[in-house]
Amino acid sequence: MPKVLIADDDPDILATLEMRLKASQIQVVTAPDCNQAIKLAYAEQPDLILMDIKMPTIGGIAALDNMKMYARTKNIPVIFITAFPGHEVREKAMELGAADFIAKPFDSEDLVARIKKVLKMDTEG
Amino acid sequence: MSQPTPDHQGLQAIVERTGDGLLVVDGERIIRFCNPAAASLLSRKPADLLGQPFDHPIKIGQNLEIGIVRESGKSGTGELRVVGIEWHGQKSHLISIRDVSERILFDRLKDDFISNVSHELRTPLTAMRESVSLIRDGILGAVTEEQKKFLAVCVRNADHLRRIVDTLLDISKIEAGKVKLAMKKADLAEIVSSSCDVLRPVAARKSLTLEAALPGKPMDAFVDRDRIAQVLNNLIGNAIKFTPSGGIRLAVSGNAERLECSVSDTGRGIAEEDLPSVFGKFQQFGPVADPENKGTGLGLAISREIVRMHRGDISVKSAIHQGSTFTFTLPAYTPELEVLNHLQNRISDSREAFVFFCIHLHETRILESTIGAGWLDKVTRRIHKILESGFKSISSIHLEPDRIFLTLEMSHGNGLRPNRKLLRGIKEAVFELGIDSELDFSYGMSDFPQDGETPEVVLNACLDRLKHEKTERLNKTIMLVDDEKELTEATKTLLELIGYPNVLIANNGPEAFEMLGNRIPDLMILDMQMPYMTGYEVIGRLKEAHETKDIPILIMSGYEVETGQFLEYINRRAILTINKPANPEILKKMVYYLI
Repeated sequence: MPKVLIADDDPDILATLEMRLKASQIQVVTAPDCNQAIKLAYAEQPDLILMDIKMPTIGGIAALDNMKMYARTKNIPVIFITAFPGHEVREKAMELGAADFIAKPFDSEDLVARIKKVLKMDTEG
Repeated sequence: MSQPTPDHQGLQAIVERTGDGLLVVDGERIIRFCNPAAASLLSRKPADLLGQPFDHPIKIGQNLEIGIVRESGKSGTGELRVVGIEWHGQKSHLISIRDVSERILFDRLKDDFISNVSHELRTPLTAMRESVSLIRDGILGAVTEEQKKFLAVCVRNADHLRRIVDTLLDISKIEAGKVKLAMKKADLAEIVSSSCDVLRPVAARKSLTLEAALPGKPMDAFVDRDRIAQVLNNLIGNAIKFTPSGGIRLAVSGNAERLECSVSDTGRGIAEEDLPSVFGKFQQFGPVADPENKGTGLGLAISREIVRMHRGDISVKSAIHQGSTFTFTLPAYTPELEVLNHLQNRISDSREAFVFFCIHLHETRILESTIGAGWLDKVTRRIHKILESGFKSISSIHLEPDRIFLTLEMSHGNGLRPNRKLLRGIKEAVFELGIDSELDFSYGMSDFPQDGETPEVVLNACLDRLKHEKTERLNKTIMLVDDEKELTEATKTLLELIGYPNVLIANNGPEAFEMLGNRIPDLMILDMQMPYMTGYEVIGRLKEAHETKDIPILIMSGYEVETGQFLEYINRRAILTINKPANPEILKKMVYYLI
């Protein structure tokens, strides 16, 4: 079963996303801030990270930058979810090697489809 | 009721007690008068200001923001306005300074507020929508059909709210002038056609036809493609929504100046009394046509903003039960539009002064054959590279078939005169690329803000100068100083053939200086070995006097200058030399380079 790390400072978002992904046969670990996210990414080696951009402590972009520095985490695909769907942020995220970029509020079917695409899971499954 | 004229004391009291700073500055920028408010806003004592030069730019009609000290002692922003007045019989400027810190703060707060609110709305909206959709999808247990129906209502309305938030943010950004259009030449007919393709399935679901009457040729506009597609989506989307049966028809037409696109439907139409407010915000008329897909009430407002940003207009014709026709117009593509956009971007990016430059290349066939495809692009890049170091900022666009436009900001002060460095840089680039060809170009330049405040005026001033530049240049005076009469005559004929009819001949140094008393030439072609005064002595004397020190000098000497060497001379920015007798090609280039 693929494992996804979800990092968001909003507990309600974490809870709903966790439930949604579990229903799609995805194992989930969660982090409420960037420090935890970086730690968990290193320890848990998830197949994918779903990360908020505006998040304590250092922000999602800096967290991704940080993960790219370590061999253990640099190849984990990261999908950003953000309430600021501006062009600049998107470009910056893509430049840093983000796998995808999703604006809040998202359509859960769309989100799951994109996650499955990155995980190369059979979309029917 | 007529107003009684205040007496002197009254006027003085007004000037003394007003919160606006008032200063009178004479033609030499010296402060001749200041009221207490001006001194306080500039954080100086009146005595320290009087008789001193005013250190902000003074320009009539141009409002400038400057740093001030507010009454509270904190720093803030002041708005400077200048009008011309007479002061003790002298032409002077009356400068008023108003504290506008509050207004600037409010503008910023408003922008921040909208952007923050939309962010703060999105996150809870996500949590709500997700929670409900988890239940709706049966992930948390079985749900009855009846329950599902109402959970779907909840999700749909969350989506609707999101659309409002998105559109509201978008429209505030446009209104605040924060949206930059990515303008490109594009075929309006093609944009219309692809918008129709996208929405045809939506129309088909309601059994509506969606057709476009397109001309058989491209309808080139200068637009931000995504934004125009957004307008079309709004118009077609509305038409579908409010048309129960029949269809929607689009048409594109136009002439050399304007393009027109219309979206007509056979829908329920708009009542006459509602027509004036159709493009207002949150305007929705009549019952909701489609509960599955509610409108934001902002679509037409945003469409109008977008069309206006494109220098176009949008209008509507409609009557109840007779359908509606929305028509928007856009300027047809012209190279000028592209240049105006370039200028507009430069002006809105920074209000700093800059020089606007247009180079019109002649004989482009030769450039094309020597440099090949993409030559204009290469020439532009070369010019950029050569000028890069001398200017604070440089940006350019080039237009087929033969024009390059540059905006250049000087690094220091306001040395914004036809600048030798700039011209030579450009000539250098053009020569370097087409050294063996018959290269020729004209140029025009204008200054922002000196020549105008709007892109149109700056462009016209530049093009106006471009028109006369070549004639003026060829009318410049060249002075030949040489004792060998036959050779001098030959060179004169050569220069005339090249296109410079105004050639003066001096047979020796002293004669040259006599002639210089009457007329300063634009170029001196000088022999080195002459009786009475050698060429070196002539140069020495020229460099000593203020009036003559800047005359470009071309030395005629005995030795050969090869094409390759020519560039080296240019790079050294030294006095140029040429072999004797002159090779017409080389002479032409040298003269061209120096004048």
